[in-house]
Amino acid sequence: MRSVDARHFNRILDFDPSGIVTVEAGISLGDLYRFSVPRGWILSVMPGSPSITVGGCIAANIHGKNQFKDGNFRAVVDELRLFHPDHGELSCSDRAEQDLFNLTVGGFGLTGFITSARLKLQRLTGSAFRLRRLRVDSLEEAAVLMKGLADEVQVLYSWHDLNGHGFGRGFVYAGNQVDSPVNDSLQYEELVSETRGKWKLPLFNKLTTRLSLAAYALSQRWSSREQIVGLPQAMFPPVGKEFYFKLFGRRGLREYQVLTPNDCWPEAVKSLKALISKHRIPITLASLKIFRGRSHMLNFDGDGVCLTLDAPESDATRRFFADLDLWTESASGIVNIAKDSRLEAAFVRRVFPEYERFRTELAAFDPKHRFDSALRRRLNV
Amino acid sequence: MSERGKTAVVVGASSGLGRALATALAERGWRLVLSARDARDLEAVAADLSSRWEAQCYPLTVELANPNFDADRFCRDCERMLDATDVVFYVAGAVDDRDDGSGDDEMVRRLVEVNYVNAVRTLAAFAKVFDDRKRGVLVGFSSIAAAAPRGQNMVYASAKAGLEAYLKALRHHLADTPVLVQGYALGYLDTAMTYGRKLMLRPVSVEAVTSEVIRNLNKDRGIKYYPRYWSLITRILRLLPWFIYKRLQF
Repeated sequence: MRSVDARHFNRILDFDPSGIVTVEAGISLGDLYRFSVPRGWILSVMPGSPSITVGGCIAANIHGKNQFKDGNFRAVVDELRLFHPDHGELSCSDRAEQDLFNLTVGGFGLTGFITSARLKLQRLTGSAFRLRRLRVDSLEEAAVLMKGLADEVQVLYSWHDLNGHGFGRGFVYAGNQVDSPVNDSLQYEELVSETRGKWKLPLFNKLTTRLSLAAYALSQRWSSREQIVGLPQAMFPPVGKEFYFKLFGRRGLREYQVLTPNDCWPEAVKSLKALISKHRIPITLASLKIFRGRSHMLNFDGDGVCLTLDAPESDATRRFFADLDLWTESASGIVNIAKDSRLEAAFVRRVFPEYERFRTELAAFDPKHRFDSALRRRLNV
Repeated sequence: MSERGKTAVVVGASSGLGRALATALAERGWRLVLSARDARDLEAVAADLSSRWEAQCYPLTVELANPNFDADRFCRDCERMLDATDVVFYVAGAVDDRDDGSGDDEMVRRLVEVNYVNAVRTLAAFAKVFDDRKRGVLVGFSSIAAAAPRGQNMVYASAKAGLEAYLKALRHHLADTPVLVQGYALGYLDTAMTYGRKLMLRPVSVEAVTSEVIRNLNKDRGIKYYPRYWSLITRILRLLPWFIYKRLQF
């Protein structure tokens, strides 16, 4: 069994001036950003970190800044080439070998080595983003507000404090590209386990969390409701804020990301509030996004409200997350498999209607499990 | 850039140091012949450089482990593609885990061929052209292993030592001409060769080596260690008495 580090497999094979770029799967989004932006193009679906590779985006079928409008990464993949020793090199897309395409996108790398992908870029209409900030008093209010804005904006997410009184109070951020003299270049520090865990002690506990979130809320209220932010900052919000991750110390953090159907959301919020006050875990980040789509295979996709929670890693947090699993199930939600290394096969099978289908199709394509991973074994796919 | 229009041949251009050199030169507007063993890999590098920098790159596939490698023909092909070559970088190298005595004759042959024989033949072919033209730079790459050959990579170390001797001799031969001969004896580099290995000193990035090489292309420096501290370390290693040297494990 071997691991392949594909980071040098990062060449740009072709760029068509109509905005189609063909890249090897090891290229990072930051690298692709630096190539495409000066030429007036950008990937419309990108997660927050520039270190993630195109192959990784495909494997997790990641979502971007406004999933409601732009969909998951699949929407920008025109075609991909895959290598598997038993099948050779195959091309797949929506037009040809669609079953393999659906198995590979969001397939966690289990169908083979993605050699290259042809991606559809979006024309850049501005050099910066105008970000609007709207105050909300609850998670329910945020969801309703965001649904109303989703079709008009390019960036849409919310931030909430779930830690004390005023549960759910926060802000909705909505942004659009604008022409501006602000023209920042992308500079980032890659977070690796060695550097991230340098501070031995975690600094986030119940008290410090409440204080820092309160301070953040205050700083937001003092700043103007509309801000011009640079393109790198809008596209990769965690860049420049790497200290956030370092504050969790060696143990790090755990993140729970769940997609709940719209009609179940208000009820789900009520039971979430009860769950959080029962467990008393510091929630260092709570964020909502609005999703639209259809759930298929093990993809994190569908119609509903996406909630993201961060908490310091600890046994208590794991117990809390276990209860969140039950909460997810009762709200008919699905979880983001790429985010949670704690998920178990039985739970994933109950929550994803196409679990068995994924398992069967993967076994038919790669019966010897030539491409294996800890995730595959843990989830028993 | 005043460098636009300069030409170079990079032998061993598809990965590691060769790719970094090719990338840096392409960024500066040089026209390049890129040479490596795998055509598809090479085409991907050429495509990458032309996409990113609109560089003019000519991929030329060669098998340096092949005893029938025709250095003169390779030289003529490069000269034809570039009109005239300004700089030749022989970056190609080969290592083998079995170079500790467990390898076979084929392995020995291949290591000698790629690291020494065809390196010398390539540089010799271009040296003649450069000598006639009274212009050009020849750059070869050696290793700290050459100064301190050990049982872990015997053929590699000796081949590199041979290449170093040739570079020095060639420089001597061309001393009264404007043609420059340069060599870099490199310590651990952060490439596929050292990936995953535990090394005594931190590997240096290929970008750092590339900057050093490009910065010094016009200087008559001869063979230098990079990073510099290896110069001192290898000097000490060379002076060690046998009863200490034989116990070295690094």
